[in-house]
Amino acid sequence: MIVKAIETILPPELLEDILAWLPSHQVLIMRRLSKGFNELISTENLARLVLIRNVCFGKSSSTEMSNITREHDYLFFKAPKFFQHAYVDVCLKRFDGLVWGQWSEWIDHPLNFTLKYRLKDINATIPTAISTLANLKHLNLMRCGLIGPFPHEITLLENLEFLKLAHNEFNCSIPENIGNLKKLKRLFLQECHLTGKIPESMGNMESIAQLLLGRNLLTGSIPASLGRLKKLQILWLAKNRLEGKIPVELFSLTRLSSLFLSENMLSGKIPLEILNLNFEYCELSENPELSCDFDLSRTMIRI
Amino acid sequence: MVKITSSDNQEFTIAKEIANQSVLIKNMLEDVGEADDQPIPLPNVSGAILQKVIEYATMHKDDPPAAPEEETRPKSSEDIEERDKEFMNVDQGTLFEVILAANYLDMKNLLDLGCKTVANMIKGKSVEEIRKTFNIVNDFTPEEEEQIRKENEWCEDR
Repeated sequence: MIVKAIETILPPELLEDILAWLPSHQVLIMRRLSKGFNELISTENLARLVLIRNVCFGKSSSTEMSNITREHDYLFFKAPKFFQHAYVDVCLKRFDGLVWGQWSEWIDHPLNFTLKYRLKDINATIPTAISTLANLKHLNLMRCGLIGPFPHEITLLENLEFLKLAHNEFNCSIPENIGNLKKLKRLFLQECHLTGKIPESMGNMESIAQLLLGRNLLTGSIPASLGRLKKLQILWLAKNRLEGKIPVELFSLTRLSSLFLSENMLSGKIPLEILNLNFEYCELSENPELSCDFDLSRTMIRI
Repeated sequence: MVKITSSDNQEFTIAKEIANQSVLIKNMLEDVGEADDQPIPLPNVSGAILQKVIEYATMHKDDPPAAPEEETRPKSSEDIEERDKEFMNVDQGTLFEVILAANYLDMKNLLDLGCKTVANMIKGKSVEEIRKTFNIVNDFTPEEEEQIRKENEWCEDR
C-alpha cells in the first residue's frame, strides 16, 4: 500500500492549524522536514498563529513583562526574523516597559522546556523588530549576554525614558544618532565593551538625568555638547580611554551632583569653574596627565 | 429529521440537532427551508467518514454551548476529553479524512480535535521520526538542510 505524504492530503491552511497547536520551538525545528514545510513555517502569519495559541494573554491591562513565559523571551532573541516580528506584534506591542534578563534562573528550571542553555552560549543580538515598539518607555536588557552590533533601531524608539543595556558585550560603538532619544532620562551602558567616541549627538538628550558609560573602551574626548544636558545629575565615564581636556561646559550643569571621570587619560588643567558646582561625588583620580592649580582640599572633588 | 448523502451516495437520516453541529449543513437547511425533504448532498465526504462524523456529533449533541474564549491561559493540544481520544484512535488516513471533513462541514470542535491529535503525534519527535510518521520526503540538498540545522541549532534538542 502506498501511503501518501501528509502535505499532499491536507491543504496548507490545515497544516498551519495543526502546527499552531505545537510549542513554538518544535514548529521552528520542523522547517528542516522538507522545502514545503520550510516555506510554510517561515512566514510571519504562521508564527503569529503559533504565538497566539502558545502565549498567555492576561486580561489585566498590566504593562509589565511578567505574564509572558520566559521560554518565549529567549525565543525572541534567537528565532528567525519572521518569528521575531510576529512576537513583537502578538506579545510585546501592548507593553510600555520590557524587562529581560536573569535568564540563567529559568533556563535551568525543570519545568521549562528541556533544552539546556547557558547564559554564555546565548550570544544573541537585540532583534531589529524591537524598533516597531513605538510606545516603549522602559527597556531593560541588562546582563542578557547580548553581543553586537548595537541595534541602531533603538534610536527609533523616541518615547524611551529608561534604556538599560549595561553588562553586555556589544564590542562596537554607540550609534551616532542616539541623541534622537530626547525623552530619555536614564541611559545605562556601563560595562558593555563599547568602543569609539562618545557621540556628539548625546548633547541632544535634553531629558537625561543619569548617563552611565563607565567601564567601556571609549576613546576620544568628552564632547562639549554634554554641557547642554541641563537636567544631568549623574555622569559616569570612569574606566575608559578618554583623553583631552575636561570641557568647561560641564560645570555649567547646575544639577550635576555626581561626576566620575577617574581611570581615563584626560589631560590639561581642571577648570576653576568646577568649584561652581555642589558635588556629592566628584572622582577625577587616575588621570595621570590631569592637573589642578587650585586647592580642592575642602571640596568633594578627588583627584 | 434531516437527510444527507455522501460522495458515494450513501444516505443518512439524522436528527436536526446533530445536523446543526455542522455550520455548513445548518446554513443549507436555513436556505432551503423546513418544507424541503430533499437530501443534502455532501460531495466532499465519503460515507465511511460521514458515519464517523455523525458518531462524533451524536456523542456531543448534549454539550453545553461553547464558553467564551478563555484568555488567561495558553491553549494546549493536551486538552482532549477521554472519549474524544478514543474516538480519534483511528488509522492516519481516516484521521486526515476526518480533519478534511470537519473543515468542509465547518465543525470547529471536531477540526480542533483532529488537529490536536495530529499535533500530539508530532510532539516530542525528532525531524527524522516526523518524516517517517507522515511520509514526508526530505527534498533538501545536504547543504540546504545543514544551513537550516545551523539556524535551528539553538532550539533543536541536544
